Amino acid sequence: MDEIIKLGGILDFTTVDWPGKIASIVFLYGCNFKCPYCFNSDLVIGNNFKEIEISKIVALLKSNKDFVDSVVICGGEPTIHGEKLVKLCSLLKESGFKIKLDTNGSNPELVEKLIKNKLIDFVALDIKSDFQEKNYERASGGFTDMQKIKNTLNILINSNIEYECRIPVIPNLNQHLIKNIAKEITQAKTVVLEQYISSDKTIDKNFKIINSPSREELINLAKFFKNEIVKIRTKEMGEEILTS
Amino acid sequence: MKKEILNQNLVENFYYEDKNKINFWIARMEKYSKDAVIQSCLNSGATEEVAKKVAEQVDKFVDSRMKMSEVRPLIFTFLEKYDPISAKKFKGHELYVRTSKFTYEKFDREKIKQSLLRETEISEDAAEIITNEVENFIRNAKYEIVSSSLIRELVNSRLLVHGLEKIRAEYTRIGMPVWDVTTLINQGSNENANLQYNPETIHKLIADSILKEYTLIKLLPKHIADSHLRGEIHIHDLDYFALRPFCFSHDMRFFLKRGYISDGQGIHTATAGPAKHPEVAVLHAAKFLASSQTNCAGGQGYNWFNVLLSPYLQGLSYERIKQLAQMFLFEMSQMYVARGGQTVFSSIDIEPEVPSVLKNVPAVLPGGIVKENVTYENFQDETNKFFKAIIEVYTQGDAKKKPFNFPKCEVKVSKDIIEKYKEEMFAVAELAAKFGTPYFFVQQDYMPEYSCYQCCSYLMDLSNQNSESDLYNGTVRGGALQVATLNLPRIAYESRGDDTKLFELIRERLEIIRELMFIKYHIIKKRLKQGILPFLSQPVNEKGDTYLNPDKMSFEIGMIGLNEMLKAHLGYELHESKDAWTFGLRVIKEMCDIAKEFNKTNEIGGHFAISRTPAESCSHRLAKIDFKEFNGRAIVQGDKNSGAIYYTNSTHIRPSAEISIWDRIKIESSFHPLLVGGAMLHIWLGEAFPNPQAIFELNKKIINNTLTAYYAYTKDLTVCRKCNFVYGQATKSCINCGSQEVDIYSRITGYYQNLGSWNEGKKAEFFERKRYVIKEV
Repeated sequence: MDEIIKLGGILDFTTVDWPGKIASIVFLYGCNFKCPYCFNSDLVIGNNFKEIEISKIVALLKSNKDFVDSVVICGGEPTIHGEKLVKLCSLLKESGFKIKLDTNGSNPELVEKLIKNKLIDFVALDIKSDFQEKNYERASGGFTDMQKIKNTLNILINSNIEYECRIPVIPNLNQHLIKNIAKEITQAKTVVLEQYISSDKTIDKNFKIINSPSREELINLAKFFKNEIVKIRTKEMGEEILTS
Repeated sequence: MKKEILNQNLVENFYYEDKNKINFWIARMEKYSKDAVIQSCLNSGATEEVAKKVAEQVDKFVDSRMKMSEVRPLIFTFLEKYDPISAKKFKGHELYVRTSKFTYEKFDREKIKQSLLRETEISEDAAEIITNEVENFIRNAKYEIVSSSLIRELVNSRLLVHGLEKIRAEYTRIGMPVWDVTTLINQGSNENANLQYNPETIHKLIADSILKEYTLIKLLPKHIADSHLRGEIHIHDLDYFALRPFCFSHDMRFFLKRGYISDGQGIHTATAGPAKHPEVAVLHAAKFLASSQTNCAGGQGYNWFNVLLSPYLQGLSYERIKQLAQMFLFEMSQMYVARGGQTVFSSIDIEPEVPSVLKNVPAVLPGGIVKENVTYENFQDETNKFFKAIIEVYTQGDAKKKPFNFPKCEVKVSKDIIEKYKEEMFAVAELAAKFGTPYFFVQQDYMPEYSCYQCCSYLMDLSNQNSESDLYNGTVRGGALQVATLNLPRIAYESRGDDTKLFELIRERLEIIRELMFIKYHIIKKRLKQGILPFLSQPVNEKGDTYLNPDKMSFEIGMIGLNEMLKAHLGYELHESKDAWTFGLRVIKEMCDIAKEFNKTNEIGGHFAISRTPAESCSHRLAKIDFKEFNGRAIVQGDKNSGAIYYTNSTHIRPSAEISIWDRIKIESSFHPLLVGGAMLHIWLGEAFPNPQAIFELNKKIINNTLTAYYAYTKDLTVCRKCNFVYGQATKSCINCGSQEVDIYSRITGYYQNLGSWNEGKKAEFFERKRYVIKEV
């Protein structure tokens, strides 16, 4: 019998979410975090999803395989779907897709399993704060199990697949902690600082009116990072690789 | 004597606009003399005897200090006594006419009669009757001054009263209501987004209006003119129909070999010999397009731009080659001279390698020299460097870092080229990602082996060329003589679901277009003979063949709103059902078959080609006409309340349709093999910073996996007037400095232009376009 999964939506075309690839994005519904600044709140606390057979998602993507052979799976948080996510990835792999997974790092076991079984090709791991429980709790809307996130990061560092650590830079939430984050993730190969853009849909309404940090601020913050590759993403210039 | 000097000064002191009145005033200031009285009596038809008698009588009452104008009532009194008929005429002379030649003249009824006889086929008797009636009317109305245009209007109204409609149509005056001219001067027009609001444009638009009307009433038979006015068909650039061919794709070797004569004759301008230096060759290339634009209505393009200039680049450093590329791009995007103060509507085709069709053709070298053993194959390196330099200059943009709107950059690609020239194609992808500038011409398997595209994307077969042919002669040229578009939704409304009727109407309307095209063909032949197209009349060989050869030009037939036709006829839009899609293909195939039939039976010259037309103004015009005519039944896009409505262009899917980009590409490109006169696929990007590598990959997929012949990415760009920041999406304010003073640029149809100057229909389309976007950054 076909397994049903909660799907938030599919976006059939992006050239920026997975640099260098044309990819479709599968938004899976539901999240174990409640980040106050989250602008995909529809996928977290809303009711905006439909239940659909996993095989249908794959069939839909397959019909466009002439053009797009890469898929970004994001959410919500894809790993909360557990074995269903594994199923989705393996069906996509069977059809020859390359897969990128966006995750908050709360389920290292699943990420490890996906890597081990060669079901994913790229992971984007969100780092929302330094690893002080109190700070992470605030940034994630309640998550405090730091070990999980550290484990996920270590799995990526020790694996052969491509990955990046994404740090959303958010005034009044974590901007003052960026220096500390840099100290926590020195081993990571690629780090991306992302400019926060306010939205009408944030979970905590106070974040609607926050001004974005400027590109210059991001460039300055990026100086704390001594990792191999340091990037920033801004609305002014898109993605830029900074050379130290 | 003294008085005369005074008069002279008086004349000198008139302002320019008053000079027109001088004749009138001088006539009024004529001094009294006995001879003048005799003369004016004679002019009125009196006998010499009567004239002398009148003069004697008048002389008793006046002296030489008086003016003739003061004496006239006295002359009339005496003349009426001796010869009432002449007196009546004499009085007529008091009526003055403000003529179309900007002079004042005495009213003369004979002029009315003579002009009627000269300009129309009216009989002498009828002319006499009309003249009498008009004269009586004017005299009874007791005007002191009438204008010749008023007299003409009066004559026309009498012609109408007598049922002489055909004569009236010949005799009528064309022009514009005062109100329309005032509106144009005060507000300009948005019909063509490329036109700036400036004095040249106002002149052009006023001239356009007269030539359009002239074409409709004088050059076209009534049923064709009516078909256009009713909106069944759309005749493109009607303003230029009477005088110019449509678009032209040039062979640069024509002037590289012979030199450049900017007026085509060397009478009004200097004549230049063949260019010896690269800078001169590039400048000739720029000016040649501007010259040709003065003789043509539409786009001006160069094939093989970087290839044919490559012999001039021998031994130059990359930096100098780039400088030359920059020079050309700035010339073409800055010469603000053509067709009422706009840039030349120009395009260049470039490719990273010497195409096989040119490899063994002897090259035109600096100084216009041709050596049998030096062919274009010898300049592969220069061709490639020039290609890279051109792309680099486009990518840099102008001094404000905004993209060049012109010349349009058309990159020839194929499965081989994208594999073999990865670096070059990546640079092109970067340009597409940054500005959306390049158009991609895809050499598909279903096309002739050797083909070249022209500026309106017409495909020319260059197989089977010999050493006598244009390819070797350096005169591969051509374009569309005329373009017309078929209104497909209208046909669906009229056939009310009946397939047979629908296909009948398609044929019927195409036959009207055929007739139109033949009229155009004969007009252009005549214009060439008259010498009114001096630039295009230049000889290409000793036989005296002209550069513009109407026999080799194409008649382009486009269509608008296949999508709306399908919705009206079948209830589904193009992307909504397989049946609709198939039926759409059938409609276009039928049009192609009819065009083929036209070509087979064509005994003059030129050939018919079905194509996508740009339809910048006609998508709005035809939607408006149909919406008014068919009201509820008309299927139009845009905002019905505000009237900002439009039809979907050609065989495209509705711009706002919520379907995946892949389905859009698949469905739209399925029409490309049919559209031999040119096709176009628009990919509207919503991402501010598309990744160039991904665009490169997507290009590969479109070229390898689809039937697409011609496509382009469109990015909306916001350019800040304050800080010059260019952003890759349409925004209300500058993302950099927050200023509200921003200009939004996007591709309106075949070119980029400021959104502010788009017509209402196209603006509505802009806001509805489905852009393929993920999220902000």
